[in-house]
Amino acid sequence: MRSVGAGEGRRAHRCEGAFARGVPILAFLAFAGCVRGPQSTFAGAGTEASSVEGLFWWMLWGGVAIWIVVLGVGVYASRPRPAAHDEIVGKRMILWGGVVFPTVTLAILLGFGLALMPPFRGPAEGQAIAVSGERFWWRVAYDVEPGQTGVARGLPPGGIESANEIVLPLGVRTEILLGSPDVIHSFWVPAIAGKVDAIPGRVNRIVLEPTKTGVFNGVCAEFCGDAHAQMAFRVVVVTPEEYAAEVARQASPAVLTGTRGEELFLANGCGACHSVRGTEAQGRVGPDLTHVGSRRTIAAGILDNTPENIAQFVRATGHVKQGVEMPAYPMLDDDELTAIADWLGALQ
Amino acid sequence: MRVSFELTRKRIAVLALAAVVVPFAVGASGIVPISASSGHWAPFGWFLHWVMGQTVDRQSLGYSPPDGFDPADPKLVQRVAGHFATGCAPCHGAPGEAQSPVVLAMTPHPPRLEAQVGEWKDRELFWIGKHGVKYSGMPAWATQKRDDEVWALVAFLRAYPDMTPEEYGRLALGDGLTPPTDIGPGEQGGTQGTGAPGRAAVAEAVADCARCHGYDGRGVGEGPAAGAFPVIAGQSEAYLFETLQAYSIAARESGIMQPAAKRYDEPMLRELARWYATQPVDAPAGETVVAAAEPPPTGIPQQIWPQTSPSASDAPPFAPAAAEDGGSDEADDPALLALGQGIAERGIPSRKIASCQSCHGPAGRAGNSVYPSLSGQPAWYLEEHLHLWQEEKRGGTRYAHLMHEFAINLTEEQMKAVSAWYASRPLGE
Repeated sequence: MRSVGAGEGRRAHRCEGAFARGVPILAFLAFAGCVRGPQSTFAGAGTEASSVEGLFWWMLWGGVAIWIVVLGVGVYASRPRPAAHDEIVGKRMILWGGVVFPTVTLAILLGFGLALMPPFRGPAEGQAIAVSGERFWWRVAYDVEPGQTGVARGLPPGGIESANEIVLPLGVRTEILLGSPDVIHSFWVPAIAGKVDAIPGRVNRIVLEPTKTGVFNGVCAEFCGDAHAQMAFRVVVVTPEEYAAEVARQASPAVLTGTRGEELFLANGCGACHSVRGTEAQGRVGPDLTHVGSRRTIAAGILDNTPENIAQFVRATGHVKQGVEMPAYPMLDDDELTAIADWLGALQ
Repeated sequence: MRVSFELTRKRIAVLALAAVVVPFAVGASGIVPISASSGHWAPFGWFLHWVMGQTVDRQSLGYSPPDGFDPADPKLVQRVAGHFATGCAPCHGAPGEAQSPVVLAMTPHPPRLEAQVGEWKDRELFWIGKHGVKYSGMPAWATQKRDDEVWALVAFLRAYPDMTPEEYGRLALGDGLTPPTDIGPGEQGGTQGTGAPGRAAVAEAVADCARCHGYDGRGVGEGPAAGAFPVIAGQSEAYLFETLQAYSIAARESGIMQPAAKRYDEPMLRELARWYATQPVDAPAGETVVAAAEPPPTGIPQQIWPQTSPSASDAPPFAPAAAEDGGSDEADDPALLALGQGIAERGIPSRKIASCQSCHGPAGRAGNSVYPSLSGQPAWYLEEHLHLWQEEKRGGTRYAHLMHEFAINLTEEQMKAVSAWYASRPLGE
């Protein structure tokens, strides 16, 4: 009786241990299954992200299979019959369970993974979009002529400029040409595809093929300085018809309200860095603000686009975003800042 | 009897206590000879002077003149002469000016410099001018951020031993300038109320400024000494007033201008700003303005960014390679001017350099009067101040910090180019 009781106790304890080990894995799977937000590879909003997600699950279950088989053989070898095994049987267990099974499984997974890659490199459709990672925001130019891949002399010229928000047509393989004028950044829209570095002195490319409409988050995925974590952007996926309309809208000059904010914006020299097409402001150092009022965020995906936030950002840029390259304008009166912010907010 | 020198804990404690108590006891006793009237005991005086000489020599080892420093440059001599008259001459005397008996009663008394400067190396003079000498009455430069001014002082001191009283009077005291008769407080004194300074006081203050800047704000100095000072004529009153205010509260650093601005209160600074803002800037007859170079067709690529920073070596095809004909005067280099014009008018977006004219051009200044005009300013002045901004040593008006973001992205060549281009433009453009 006593010996049986003790044995049961031990077994119960073992089961509890196995359960305890399994909990984190189960919790992770549950977590991963749930995370389908706008910044998640599990959102499945693009062909590349979906195949990466598929690969992830295959890799996970393949890994679990290897884990179960190898440990199972180990447990079988050591626990139920602790006495010496037959030497031949032992060698077979090591050979089949420890070498052949993991190698074959991993080889299958490798082949599966490699097979997924060629479609990523496939040709793009439609006009390319040039995206320049700049400390600490994203310059966007629609409708550029697709450039040479690999080493190139810089991003192609021209295009319709915008910033920090990229509109993409649903179901179209759109080529993004990536570059940088300062340091290495990395362009990542986890829900759709990614990621690829933006490297000064060369043009990299990535093709985004969105499969769901909606608004998704993009980030800089390569440390680039103080405000690296605040260098985000939005990707807006719309139907191809809406996309064409949106690009046409971006190409149009600003609809000016002629208010005091416009006067102050120009008088204080903001046009040295920013363009508002249709005014004298033709600066190309900072983001194009022609249609800034229609963007969802300001300061590169950091703040909701409200006049209050614009005023707050302009007043104390470094407070909102430490390390930002735009100087602060605390010398402007509050009502001047408000006027400028209201005017910018109205640039739809 | 044998004396034991063995160190015990008790003895160490007594010695430590004595090291604190004895100096205070001596200090409190009243026997320390601090009177200036008694001078130094000769061997002690020699020793102190020897220590100073050794220290200045060793501590100045780390300083060397800026590139292209020419101690014989008349501009440098002119630049610091006026400050010498107010900052140095009161103690050290000047050509034609004796030292006051009050000053000579100091211990040590400040030496006359004619015979002294030859005994020091350039770097030693620089060190003394910048850091001053503790316990001797010699002050440090009023700011530690303007080494360029202290090097100008070194040049002045090199010229000093041979300077005649007439030369000194012309360089430092405004001799030879004719004060206009219309100096006085502004007509509409309503903005200042009763604090407005009187006519004589304004005339005196303008005369003080005129020693360097001239009554017309163009700066004194002729021939090789011309262009020693920035042109303040025709700058907006708002800019000049905020700049003077910035000097007086040390928001803009200058060992020369801070003491000058600090001499006057705010109503007077406003009068001075008004005086110089109303001085005309029309180019005198006969002065030829260097023709503006054509915009460089290749210097500023129109793509989102080029591979390399545009430089004068990307000379447009029509521009001869000026460096080859040995032209030492860079201001005449068309490629350099073209580069400068490109930066001033269009900036270099790929290098995060905005167009200067956006703020400093006529439209920019019309929009915000605190932005100064740069056209016709001496090239050395613009270049020096771009360097100061790059090193975060340059304050000024409420808007001054904006310049830092652009200056940090400029190369040496680009700074030289844009300075040369602005210097070639007509005043007040």
